[in-house]
Amino acid sequence: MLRVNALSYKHILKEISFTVKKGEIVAILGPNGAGKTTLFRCLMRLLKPSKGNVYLKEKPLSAYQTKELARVAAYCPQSPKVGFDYQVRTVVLMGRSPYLSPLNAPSAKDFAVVEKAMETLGIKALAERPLHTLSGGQQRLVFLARALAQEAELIFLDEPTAHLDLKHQIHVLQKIKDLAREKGLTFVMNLHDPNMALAYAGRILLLKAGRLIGELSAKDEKLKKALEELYEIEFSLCSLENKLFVFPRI
Amino acid sequence: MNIKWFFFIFFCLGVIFLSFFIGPTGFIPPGGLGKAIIWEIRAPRVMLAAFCGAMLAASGASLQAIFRNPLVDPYLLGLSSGGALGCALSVAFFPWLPVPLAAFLGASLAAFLTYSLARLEGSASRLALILSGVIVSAFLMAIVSLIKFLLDPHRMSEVVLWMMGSFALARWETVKTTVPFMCVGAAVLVALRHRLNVLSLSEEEAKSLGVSVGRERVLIISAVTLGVGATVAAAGIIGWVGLMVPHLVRLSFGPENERVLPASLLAGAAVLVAADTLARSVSSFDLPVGILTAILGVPFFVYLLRKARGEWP
Repeated sequence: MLRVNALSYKHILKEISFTVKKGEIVAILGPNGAGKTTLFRCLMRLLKPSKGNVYLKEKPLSAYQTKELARVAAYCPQSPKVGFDYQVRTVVLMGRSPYLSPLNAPSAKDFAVVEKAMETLGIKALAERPLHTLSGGQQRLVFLARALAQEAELIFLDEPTAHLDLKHQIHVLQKIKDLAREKGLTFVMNLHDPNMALAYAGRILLLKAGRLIGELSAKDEKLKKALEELYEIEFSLCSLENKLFVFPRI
Repeated sequence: MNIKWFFFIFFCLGVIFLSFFIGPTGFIPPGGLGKAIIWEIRAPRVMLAAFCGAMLAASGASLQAIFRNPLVDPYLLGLSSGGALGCALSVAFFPWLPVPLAAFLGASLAAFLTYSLARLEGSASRLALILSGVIVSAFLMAIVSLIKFLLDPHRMSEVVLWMMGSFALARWETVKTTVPFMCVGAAVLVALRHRLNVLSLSEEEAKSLGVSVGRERVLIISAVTLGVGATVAAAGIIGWVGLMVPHLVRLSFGPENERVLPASLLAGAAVLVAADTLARSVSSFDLPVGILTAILGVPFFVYLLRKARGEWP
């Protein structure tokens, strides 16, 4: 699905290589300033990498047209700025933009896709509400619905759990897991909580100071060591109900 | 929803229709002159005010959307001043240049200057855009004043009336030469109304949704420049309509641009026609309507600032 080959961006990203297969959920862990958001922006072609190649469905990213790219890959930014207080349905409908010419009015089919996307994420009842009246968790689902309306196979999520309480973090991540399993969608997201990543992501990449320093897996004996190297603090491991959890030592 | 639209359309068209029959000489002017007064004096004036109001309001709505900035309008971005400079140059030095074309060129220059100046700050933020609009506007108006100074006094009165914004000189001839340009500008904006929602996102987000942001923004700014240039050629600088009307429309129709744009066209027409009717009937003087809209507009600006306290960077 996605193949990143020795990607560098100025001094922020250094020689990053990884691949993502269809239907995978890949989480990226890393301290603040490690270059996670920059990586996403390079992968969505919002920034031009200084070196290296990105292949999306075996086609170089640079060969995609703007519209074509948006039909394959969607991006949910961390804090979307919507200048006007649009209704939820209007925001989700924006996901149809890559299928419409500037002069087209959205067709009945576009509206059907939008309704379906809202239904999938359980926000259909909110369709007429102004976006700013929704809670943080609900807003996150609206932007996820917009990505679904884009009918993209690969969705980049920049901190999907930021500013959410625990219940809503789990709710959003569970929705993402369901979508990957049921629809075969592929997700690449960055998270800050290693336990959430262990529970919901198929693979975890560790990004530190612009370099990928390894992968994390729950069965790994080096789990503790890898996290300590990544965040430069000490961790404790703990096994509860046959699941492994990590805690920073505080 | 449909009933709301029905009343809205009925009300706006009603205001425009009634304006044909209101003036210093009363409802139906006395004597055999009535028909001539309505047809030769009031009709072109009402038509011109309607088209200018529609164009200004639609431009304001579109600019507010693409710059994600509720304070932007063609006047504040300096487009009107640019148009005035074009008009003044054409009247003073280049009589062979058609006034609407000169206004369009002047407005294009202003758009270019304002946008490049705001870009210097980095991302053309809300504040930078307003500031550079004010600066460009002041600069262009200074040149207009210079031209006024150099011009012989007989031709100066025409330029002065322009700068205040007035329909006093409206004739059928003016309607014929300027309204087609406004129609083209407005038609482009209306055709793009569905796109304005996604263009009101940040540039990066709109790009990630498959929109060629730069190209489509330029298209919208060009349409606005063409139309606003024509309104300046027709009636001079009329501020605030482009700022106020879209806000009032959003209050009742919501922020979705596919509704805001057509509603702004109608409401803008009705508001400017009403203001002009007031300006020409309230006293025996024919007051420039630009003065009236500015007097109404400033309290409105204050209201907007109060309402949004702390929300704008």
